[in-house]
Amino acid sequence: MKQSRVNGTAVATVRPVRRRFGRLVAAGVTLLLLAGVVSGCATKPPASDTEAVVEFERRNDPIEPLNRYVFEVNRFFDFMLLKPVAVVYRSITPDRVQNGVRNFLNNLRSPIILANDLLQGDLGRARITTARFITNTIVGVGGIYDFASHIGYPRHDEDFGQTLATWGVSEGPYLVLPLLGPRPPRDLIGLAVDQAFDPLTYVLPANDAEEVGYGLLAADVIDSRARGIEALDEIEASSIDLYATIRNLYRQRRAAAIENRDDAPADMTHAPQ
Amino acid sequence: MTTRRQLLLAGGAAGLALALAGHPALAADAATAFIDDLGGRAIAVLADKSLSEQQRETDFRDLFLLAFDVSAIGQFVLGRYRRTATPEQIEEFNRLYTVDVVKTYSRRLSQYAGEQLQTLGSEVLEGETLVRSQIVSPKGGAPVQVGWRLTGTPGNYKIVDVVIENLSMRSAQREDFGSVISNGGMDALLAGLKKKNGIS
Repeated sequence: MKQSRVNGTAVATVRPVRRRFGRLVAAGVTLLLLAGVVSGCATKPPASDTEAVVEFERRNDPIEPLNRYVFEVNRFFDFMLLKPVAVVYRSITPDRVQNGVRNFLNNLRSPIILANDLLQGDLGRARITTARFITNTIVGVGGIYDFASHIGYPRHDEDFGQTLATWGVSEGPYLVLPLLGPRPPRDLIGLAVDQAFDPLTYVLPANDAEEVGYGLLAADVIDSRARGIEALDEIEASSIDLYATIRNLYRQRRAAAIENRDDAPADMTHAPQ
Repeated sequence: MTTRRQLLLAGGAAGLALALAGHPALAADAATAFIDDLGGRAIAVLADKSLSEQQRETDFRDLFLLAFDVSAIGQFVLGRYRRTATPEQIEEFNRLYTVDVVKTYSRRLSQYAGEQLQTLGSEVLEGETLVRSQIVSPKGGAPVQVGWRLTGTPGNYKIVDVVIENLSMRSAQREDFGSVISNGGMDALLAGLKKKNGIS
């Protein structure tokens, strides 16, 4: 999932959710899920209609009514708050600054990517991640410039959800969470484990600087949303059932990320000859 | 950074000049040339200031209907529901879906702001030809990867899918339409297409 222009949903791109906030969401989700078991189950087609059963299983969305409800709540939140903030952010921030913010946030994510490169046994990519982190932190002024991508170290992303997938763990039933957006069980576990891989999870509280973490999270959410404004508007305009379309796009995007089809192309513009 | 941008700009300007002059650009194979040519023609329509709004719409419509295999895409996105629909429903679907495709791609193109379409070659994939390309924005940032899936043979290629950043549009639309039909039947889909495109 590199700087995804087509976002799952408005809030699907929330990546480094940190600590307490994550726990709060998890508690809310558990409650909602309990309610869902009672009220929000999709009706399974009769076994005689084999084609419908196949489709129902491929859709793999057993609590679809509840998911749709949370999806609409998220859309309302996006419409009322996140999208307007993202629009303002984009209009008052010069492109260079926006790219600097994105590069800086991407660079901070390097330890998580490195941990997952290693867990997937991909030493070549682990080497690239390390080279990128060192290059961009030093030459790229703390990560503001992505110099490494111009000397043949293009950015790639990894997360523990992808690592689980390479270990053969399947995604599980589709799940839409409040604020987080689409997050099936495998990717939800991935999100939690990635927090443990993030040095900031330990460094910031140890220095009484937890606010910095919230600031980074806010910057990430707003910047990601700003990058997806046109794409999401277009998806809304071109679909009839937005929920079903997003469900499909989320799964397509994850499949591409797992197979590493989403890497940026190599660029050797500034590479030493 | 500066030299790279200048190079890109120079390359882009040269590519645009070639495309506008009607040359089939520098394509290594027929499928890539088809997409190069299509991009050049779309930009030519956009750049022609003498066209009235209505004339431009008509030109786009002709261009899309020539380039896209709308009936094949329609069959794909209906999936299994095609077999249970009545002939009248299918006929109505084909009519509405043609309008829908033209409208969707006209809207996407109308947001054009100086981007460059650069083709990157083609390969045969699952019986179709995939042409890889990227769209480079004059604002900088990472280019958008776009794949074009074609059927047919050199000389009569047709587009059957557009893959934007690894996302297949026909696959997303099949799930979209399938969900609408399974919830409300074929008539719900026809009503939805009418509503979306402002047709009564």
